[in-house]
Amino acid sequence: MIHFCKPKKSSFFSNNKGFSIIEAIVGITLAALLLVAFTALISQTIKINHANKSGLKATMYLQELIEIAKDLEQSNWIELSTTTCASGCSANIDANEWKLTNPGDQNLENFTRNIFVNQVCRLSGEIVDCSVGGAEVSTNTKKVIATIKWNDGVNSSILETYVYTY
Amino acid sequence: METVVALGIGLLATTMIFYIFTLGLKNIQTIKNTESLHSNANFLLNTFTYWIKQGETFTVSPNTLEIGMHDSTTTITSNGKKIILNNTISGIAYLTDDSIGTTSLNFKGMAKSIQIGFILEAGEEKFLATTTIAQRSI
Repeated sequence: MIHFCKPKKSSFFSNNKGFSIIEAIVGITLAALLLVAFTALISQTIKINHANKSGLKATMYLQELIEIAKDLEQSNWIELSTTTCASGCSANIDANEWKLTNPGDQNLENFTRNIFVNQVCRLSGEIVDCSVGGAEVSTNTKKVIATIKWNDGVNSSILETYVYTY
Repeated sequence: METVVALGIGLLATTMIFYIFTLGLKNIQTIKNTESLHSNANFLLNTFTYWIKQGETFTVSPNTLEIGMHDSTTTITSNGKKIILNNTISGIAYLTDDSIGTTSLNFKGMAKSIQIGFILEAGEEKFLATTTIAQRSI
């Protein structure tokens, strides 16, 4: 008599062994990969955010120097034109007025800023380089350069403007 | 035995995943708040610059700036947590978002400029700004 044995099914549903350690480890590895990607993304975003904040503050401090020069242009031309700021000054408040102090590295949070006031030469009314023949130093115009450096030494920024007395 | 080890590892992994995701979500919220602070600070600075450059006369008190123009007057002040701009012709405008709080707004009159300081808050994040805006050269 021949007996036909029904082969044992080994389908997913009939397997009642449950999760093995291998499945658990594979699952954890996949989850770890996702977490690493997620953490890297967050970390990068925080860095960019921090850089944005620094950039915004630096721009604000830098523009302030130009605005201070515009204040002195109208209120105290002598301060602007006679203080020796060719190698950099800092701007400070004294009795509700802006004063330029030489020498002056001004430290603000994570930045160092300076304001430079340079002479301007003119030839036939036009601003020219002072090395041009016939150019004369203008007494009513100054070139203001504002600089800011991040204290980590990586970034810096510059703004320039001309100021006049009439 | 294998089941117990697998369950133990699974429990540990679940706890870690939960912790890291919670931390991540908190960071995302912080980033959102910081972005909001930056955009509000930028907008405020641009608005202050615009109005001060328009101004002809200035009345400065520690928390209020009154800018006189030839046909109207604009007052900038903080009312509780908001910074308010009130123009005698065009009315009131709120310069900060609902999600932003203002804990400080100071003005100081200089010879030909106004020094402005403010602190904005969103959640636990703060943005402190101090700057100067000169009147326009006439």
